[in-house]
Amino acid sequence: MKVMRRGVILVEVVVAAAVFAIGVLAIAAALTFSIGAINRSRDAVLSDAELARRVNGYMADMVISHDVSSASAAYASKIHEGLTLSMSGDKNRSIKFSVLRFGSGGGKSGTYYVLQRED
Amino acid sequence: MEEKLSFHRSRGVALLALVLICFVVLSIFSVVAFSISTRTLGVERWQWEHYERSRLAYIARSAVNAAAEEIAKYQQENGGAFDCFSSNPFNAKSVGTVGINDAGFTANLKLTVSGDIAPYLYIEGVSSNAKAGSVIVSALYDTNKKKIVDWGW
Repeated sequence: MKVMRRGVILVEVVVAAAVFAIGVLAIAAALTFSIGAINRSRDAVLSDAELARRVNGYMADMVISHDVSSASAAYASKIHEGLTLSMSGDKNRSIKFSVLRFGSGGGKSGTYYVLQRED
Repeated sequence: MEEKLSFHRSRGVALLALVLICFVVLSIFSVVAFSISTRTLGVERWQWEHYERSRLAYIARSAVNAAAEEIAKYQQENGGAFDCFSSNPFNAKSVGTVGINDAGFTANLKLTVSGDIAPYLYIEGVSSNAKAGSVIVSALYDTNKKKIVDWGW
């Protein structure tokens, strides 16, 4: 009878330890996920800041120069060309433009789009 | 016999206390871990929305600048006249819309050119999509100086 009680207690302890271990593992997984997300965020923020710096430089060049001729941009690729923005009004004029993409469009780095007027 | 009973009872209490303490510790850890995960996801979501709105802002800002360049070019070629999109921009505004698509990204752009207090033209670019809502960028174009003199966003 005594042997049976000991066995029962051992099973209870093993079950309790297993439940505790599952809980601890779940918490460890949640913390690992959080740390991973924070690291991803840091990488994304750094790469986006660099990309935004380039786009801001390009925008500042365009605005400050007052150059009305179309220009090219370093670090950017032209993804659409010859698009038109038709404006309402009795002149029926439209703005021809291309779309530039800053950034690779994949991986950790993001992408920014900028419209550039065409002559 | 009494001693034996007492020993057994206290051992059961100790085990129960141990289980309860473990349960409480595990609960506290769970709450902390859940809180950290929730906040991390919240920050990540905010960061993504901020990034999407930045993308829309660049599109709207560059569109407003493109419109200003178009008007400036028209003025250069037409002796300073600024009736580029409308014969009388101070009475009738011109509006144009276009969609911009790339892999996994879509935005609608609405550009408006209207007369403000003379000699200024008001140019407004609104870019929007389903993920980030809409972003408005505006500018005042001076028809005498033939350039943008003020930005608003």
